[in-house]
Amino acid sequence: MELFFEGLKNGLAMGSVFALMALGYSMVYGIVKMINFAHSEFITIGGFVAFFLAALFHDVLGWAYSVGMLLLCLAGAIVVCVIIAILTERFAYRPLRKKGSSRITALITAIGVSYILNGILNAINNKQLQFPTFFDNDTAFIISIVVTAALLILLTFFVKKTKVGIAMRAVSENEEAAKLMGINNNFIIALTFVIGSALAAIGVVIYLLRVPFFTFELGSSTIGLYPFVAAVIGGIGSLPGSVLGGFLIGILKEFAAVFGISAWSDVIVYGIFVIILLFKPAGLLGKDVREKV
Amino acid sequence: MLEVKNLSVTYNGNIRALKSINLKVDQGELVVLIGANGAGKTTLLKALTGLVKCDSGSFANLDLTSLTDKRTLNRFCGSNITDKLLAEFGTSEKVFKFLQKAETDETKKIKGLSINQIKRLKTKYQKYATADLLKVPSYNAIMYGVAHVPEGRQVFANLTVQENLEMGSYRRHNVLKIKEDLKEVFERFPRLEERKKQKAGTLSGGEQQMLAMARAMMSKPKILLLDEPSMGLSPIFVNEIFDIIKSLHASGITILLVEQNAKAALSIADYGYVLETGKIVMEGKASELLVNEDIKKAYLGA
Repeated sequence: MELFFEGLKNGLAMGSVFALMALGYSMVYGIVKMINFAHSEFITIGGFVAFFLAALFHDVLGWAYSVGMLLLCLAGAIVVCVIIAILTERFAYRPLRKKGSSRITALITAIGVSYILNGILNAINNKQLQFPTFFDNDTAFIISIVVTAALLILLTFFVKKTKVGIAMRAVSENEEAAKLMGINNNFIIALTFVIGSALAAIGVVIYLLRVPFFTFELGSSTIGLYPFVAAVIGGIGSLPGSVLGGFLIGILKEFAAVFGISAWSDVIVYGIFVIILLFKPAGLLGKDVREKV
Repeated sequence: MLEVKNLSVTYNGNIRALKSINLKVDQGELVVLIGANGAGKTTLLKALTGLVKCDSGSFANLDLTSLTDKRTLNRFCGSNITDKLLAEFGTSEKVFKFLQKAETDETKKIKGLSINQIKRLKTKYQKYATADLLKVPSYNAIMYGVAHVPEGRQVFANLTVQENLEMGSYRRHNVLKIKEDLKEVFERFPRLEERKKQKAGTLSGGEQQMLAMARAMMSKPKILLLDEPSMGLSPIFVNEIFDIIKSLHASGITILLVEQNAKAALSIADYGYVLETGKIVMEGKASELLVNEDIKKAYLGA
């Protein structure tokens, strides 16, 4: 029983990280129908900025100021991730959109951008770095849950109720008609990248609170495909779906870990992934895409 | 007044979809553009709102002068200068009246503004009022008073009726005015009010067409471009849609209507153009076109 709760707790914390990261994949897909594979590098970059700031200000602030450090890391990671995301969108993806290139081209470009960023990061340093511990495990757990819940509520409110949020849904549904309403589609798409990358930055900082090891493979292999898989299981393009998928994978993985079958966790996660998609090809909360008449 | 001059569009570098189109719609007029499938009617409307790239031509909406609210003024010259102008003239309408006069008119002195500043404002205004809309990105067409109701309605199916209407007023900011207009739209389209919380995708074709038109009205356009509003609708709805267009026209809105249903369209229009394989082959008063033998044969099925 104790193991069960341990697994559930870790699972919820890990799940909230996956959920935040999955939202980035899902929102971008929902709007531009493109999988932004560079998202995983945004995660690494966010983690690196957080690590860098933590190391830099360690002597200034001392570890005692844990809350201050957390906020500093969050702010820094968000700012840098957002800048990189805007640049990527502006100079790699937007020109493709303008030329009306095929989706496969956009996908390959995304993979290319991902490898470029990854290569640069690895060239800087490829050692494992120890991220400082600001909080004990329980506090970190509470922070993960509270921050994730707050962000989800905020995001839902934004998308459902605000004018720009509704415009975002309008663009995702019909870009041409949205333009005729006076909605600047490029602004909305850039905004989607901004929100997605900011959530990725927050997700990775929360992750490092509990798993304090940073490597430059963090986004591409340690966390890797899980957020993307979470988005697909939940139904890519659906925000609650991404959250559900994130928690599902987080909990499965952590249960596998506490019950001592970590080695099998990928088999379990991807096994369930395949089975879900067999029965619900559009994901748990995804809508079947019907062609408009 | 809306004026299209020498508009040409080429598809894929060789197929000429439109060949030097010249077209005019006067303030308050309902002008109809008829033609067979593939004649280029939709392409023409899309070109006007920048959804299709043009090789040549110009498109001016000379009716911009009727946008005289304070918000437009603010956007036009900034809050600082707006305040000074308002202090001098009282209302934004009067300010615009002043700006519309050519710069050669005797220059009036305005407190806090130099004569050069006033001159520059006037030049800027003239430029805005005579802007070539072909060079404006699609998402700004609405700022020049052009609302395009696209072919196939294209309502946002997963948004509610009310959200669709809100998107129509996306670029407007006066919350009170928007609320008033929403009320007015609901009075005109009571069926939409009944269904305002429903997703637009659940509406019938005719209701979706109403929503698409109502959504366009929410931008307070100077001119409505309607692309095949009766397409695919049952006869009852076709009549209703034409009644709505008639009443919009009667309330003073300028309309450019593209229709395959030539008879119904010509019978409510003031003026008509006939488009054939990318060229305007005939034009004239709608009442005259209705009795023209060639048109009767080709489009009216008589």
